[in-house]
Amino acid sequence: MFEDLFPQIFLKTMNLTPLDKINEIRLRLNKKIVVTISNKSYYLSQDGLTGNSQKAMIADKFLIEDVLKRACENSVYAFSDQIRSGFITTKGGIRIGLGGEGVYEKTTLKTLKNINSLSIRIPREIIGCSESIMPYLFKNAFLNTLIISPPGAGKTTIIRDIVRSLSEKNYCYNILLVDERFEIANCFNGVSTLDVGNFCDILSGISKEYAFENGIRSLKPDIIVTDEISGEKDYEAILQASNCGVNVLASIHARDVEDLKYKKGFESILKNKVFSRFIVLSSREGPGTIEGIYDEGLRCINY
Amino acid sequence: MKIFLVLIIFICCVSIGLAIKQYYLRRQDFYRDLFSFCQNTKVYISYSQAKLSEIIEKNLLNCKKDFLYFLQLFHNYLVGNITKKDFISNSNLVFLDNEEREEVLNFFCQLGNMAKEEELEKIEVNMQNFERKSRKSQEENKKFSSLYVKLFLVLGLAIIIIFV
Repeated sequence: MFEDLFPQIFLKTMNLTPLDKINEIRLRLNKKIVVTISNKSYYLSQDGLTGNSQKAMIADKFLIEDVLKRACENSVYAFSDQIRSGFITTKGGIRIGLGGEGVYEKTTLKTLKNINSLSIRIPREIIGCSESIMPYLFKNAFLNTLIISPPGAGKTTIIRDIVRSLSEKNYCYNILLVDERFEIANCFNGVSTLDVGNFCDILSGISKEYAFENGIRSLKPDIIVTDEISGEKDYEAILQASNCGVNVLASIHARDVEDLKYKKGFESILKNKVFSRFIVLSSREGPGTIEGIYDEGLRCINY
Repeated sequence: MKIFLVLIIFICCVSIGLAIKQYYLRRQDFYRDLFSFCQNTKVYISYSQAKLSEIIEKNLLNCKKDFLYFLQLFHNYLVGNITKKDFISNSNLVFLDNEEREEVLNFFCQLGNMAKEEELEKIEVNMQNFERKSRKSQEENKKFSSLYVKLFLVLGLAIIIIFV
């Protein structure tokens, strides 16, 4: 996973760290390199991880440019749309958030230039992490479910595992996975590199609006799954899918169920009781901590 | 001894003629393959935004020797097997002059570094240039390659006649 992303010299240092536990690596131009493991941050030094900032390695321009070039597989044009959205998703599902300067043509953002920070998030596939909540997602049939969590609290990992579980336990639901940012299934050359089970059709790199409208017609799913819904267009798409009799599993950035009431455009979702289950996650005891499970009336039913 | 020397000179003359013919032929083939590569790359990027390494692999099948070698070297550089310095120094573009060599190397070294629109524009500009060079090299090959072979053959024969 890291061999394709980092130059050899940097890899030698990275190999001194517990690679399989890393959640995030931050490279900021001319600043110290920071590595996050289980919500704790460390500096990266020549000898591995350290709490001593004096020994920390600095991310210079060449390192950032090299990592970016490798992440784009020497084909920046192939990632233009992602770069415009402020991220790149690479092989293995690594998502790299980008900081830099916007380039505008009239009022439209064309691209980012002078990239000065990379936030490299490593996906962790945790088979079975949704086991404890699966029983709550059914009542004769699958219930429309919304995963609520702040960034970095494991909602994508949980969603992925729910999708996998739905196949494994032979529920025989046809699932349409709308993987707009290639994070859930991480398809590479059309093949999903992360386990989403046998009953999943995947639309990658496509807007939710398009996927919901056309995917329902062409792929006839029983359940549509998507990550990080935000904005009125996404909420409208969810409402329409629900009105078509298709179940929905989605996630949203929020701290808890109360936050949902203040999200612009979400009122219609709450009013129509589109979702029957709300799962609230946090990073309190590490990513994926289940804070509560709520019903369609936002009443806590467990935890 | 005299005949042997004259024969050597004759063979040298013919070899020089053939070498010049090869020079023009290599230039023609290289620029033709380069133009074709640009056309294909433009299509792959426009329609499917295929990654550069995939585009190169698809192009390897249809090239003549010099461009094939060059493309394979570039592919090795792209995947990190060799450095940029090695790529440039081993490119073996001896049949191009300094300016042409720099033009081709600059084009390839910058390939894949821009957003889609800019990349396509850059390829289009360079493609037009390479098309001109391809046509010119075809004309030169047609005009000069057999001429030089005949010229040096005649020279060789003249030397034989004079000295034998």
